[in-house]
Amino acid sequence: MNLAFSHPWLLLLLPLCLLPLAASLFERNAAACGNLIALNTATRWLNRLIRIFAVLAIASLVTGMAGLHILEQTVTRTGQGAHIVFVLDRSASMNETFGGKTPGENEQSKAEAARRLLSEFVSNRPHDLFGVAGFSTQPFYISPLTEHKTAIQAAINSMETPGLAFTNVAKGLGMGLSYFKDQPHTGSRVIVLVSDGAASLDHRAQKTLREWFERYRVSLYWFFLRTENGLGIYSEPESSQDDNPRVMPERHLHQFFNTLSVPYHAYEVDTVESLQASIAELDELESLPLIYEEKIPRQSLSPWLYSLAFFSILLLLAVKLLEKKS
Amino acid sequence: MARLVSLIAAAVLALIAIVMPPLPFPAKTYDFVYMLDITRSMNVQDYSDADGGAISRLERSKAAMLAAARSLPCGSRVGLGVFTERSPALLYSPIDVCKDYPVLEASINELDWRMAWVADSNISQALYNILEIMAGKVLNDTKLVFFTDGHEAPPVNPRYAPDYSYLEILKDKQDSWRNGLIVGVGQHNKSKIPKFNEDGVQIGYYKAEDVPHASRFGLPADPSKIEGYVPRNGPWGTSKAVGTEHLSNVREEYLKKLGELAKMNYHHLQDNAGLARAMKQDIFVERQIQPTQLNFIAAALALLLLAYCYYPFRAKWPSAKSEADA
Repeated sequence: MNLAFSHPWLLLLLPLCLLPLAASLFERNAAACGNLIALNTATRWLNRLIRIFAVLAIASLVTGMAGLHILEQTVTRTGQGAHIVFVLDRSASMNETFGGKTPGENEQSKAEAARRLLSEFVSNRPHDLFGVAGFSTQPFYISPLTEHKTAIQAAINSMETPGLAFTNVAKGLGMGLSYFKDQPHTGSRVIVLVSDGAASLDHRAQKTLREWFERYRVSLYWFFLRTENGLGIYSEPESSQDDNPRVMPERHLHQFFNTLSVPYHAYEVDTVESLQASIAELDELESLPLIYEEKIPRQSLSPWLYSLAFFSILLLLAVKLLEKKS
Repeated sequence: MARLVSLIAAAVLALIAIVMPPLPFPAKTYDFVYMLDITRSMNVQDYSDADGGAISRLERSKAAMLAAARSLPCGSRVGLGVFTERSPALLYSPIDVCKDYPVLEASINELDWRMAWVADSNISQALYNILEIMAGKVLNDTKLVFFTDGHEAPPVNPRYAPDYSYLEILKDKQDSWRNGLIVGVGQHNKSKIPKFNEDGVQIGYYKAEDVPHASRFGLPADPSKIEGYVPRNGPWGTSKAVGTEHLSNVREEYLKKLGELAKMNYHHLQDNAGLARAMKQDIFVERQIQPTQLNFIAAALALLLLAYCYYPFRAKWPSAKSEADA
């Protein structure tokens, strides 16, 4: 047990404990001769006991005021859960609706819908660690894998601010995978890629991603927010001429993800409802035994100390009431 | 008799100290969002660290950001974003500086100039766009801390500077109202700007011929002042622009002017304590009702009464006056 004080300087008041040893609670009464009062052992001990209670009362009041507390502790527990990294698309098109328009009064943009549903998902999974990475043309580190739920929500909130430039999926995924570098392997490891577009990957990027997915054993979920009438993951090319990553990046990115040696699920989402359904499925799938650390916040001992003081003062009061009135 | 009464009072006060719930009291807290310039000129190494080694403006700003966050009272919140060219990217909305400090530390340490999705730097436009986001609901009621060196590349044409009076956030505000703080990063004397290759390896410094030295965008404000002005073939004159745009220093005059337009204070970053002082001003205070534990007051009164009961320098015998009272 680790104890600490929040205001240690108040402990300077501790010498006040010596007061009961120097003074008495009772009135002095004159007796003609000291020998007339028989001091037996019981009396002596009772006297000492009363002083001890007085010392106890003062000491516990002082330590209580100094804020004695048990430090925050971490306890390792086992439960169900996952380490989840959200890789969020921050490109400008995320600010449009699923219909590809600027959102009107009662409409939600893709980013807004994704933000709301992801933040619900986060608050429903108490033991998971979440990390957030963003990307447009360049990847950026947003928040590390952490159990701080408020910070994760704050990071997801950022989706509501205007998007930036283009969609560079490879760099975003690379940034997301790098979060698992120094993490212990426990529970399931998941990357959730939320994007509304795709890009062709060059050979170097393909090789690196393949290697990293294999090394870190991370399963991949791709929530593809498809714009109405836009190309989708499962769109078939009209002619073999069109079947190349430049024309149909979504289809080819999907094909590449399928060749990865890790579990991969793609969800083509074109309404808010279907996004909700696919997030619910993710919730079901990713629950492996997980060793997680639970933080027990610091506990103040002041109420206990004040109770001890209260109890001692009551005893002193009882004794004082019994005092012979002269 | 007095001691009996004070014992009773001490007991009552101790009981109050045990059961008193936290009372809502206003406390001084701050809500800030850090916006960091990640354009190339921030790589200039014109600060020195504790050991006298050169560190870049970017690293210096990161250290100052963390130190300032640590100095804010618990319950204050800090958000984070970066900007380049004209647009900002919010990484997360404000999070608690005490509870979520690990997240704050990890993400600030990861900030890097390579996050930049475009390479230009147009600070007044970026500030304008940030202030637009600040009016939205994600950053409502937060104050901006804007870290930049004020060096714009390529030089901007002041004719096309944004008009801050259109900003919603600045409308109907008193003159004393402050939007936040512009932090000028860099030294007053000019330094060379490092140049990096594709892999992020430094390959020397920018030379005079690498950068444009004057604005060539749009039309000049007053053509008659331009030497060699030819309306069709030389709207910006026919002579070669020379200058020192390949060197960088903190453009304090410019930043102060922006500060006036945007109703922000200006601070030149020199040491961590200075920044913390500039941020912890009353104009930025966000008064929050925070539950405050006040039971130490009751405990202190109880302690005082107990000390009175055991006051050692009492008259040895009841004085004549108190005898008469009895």
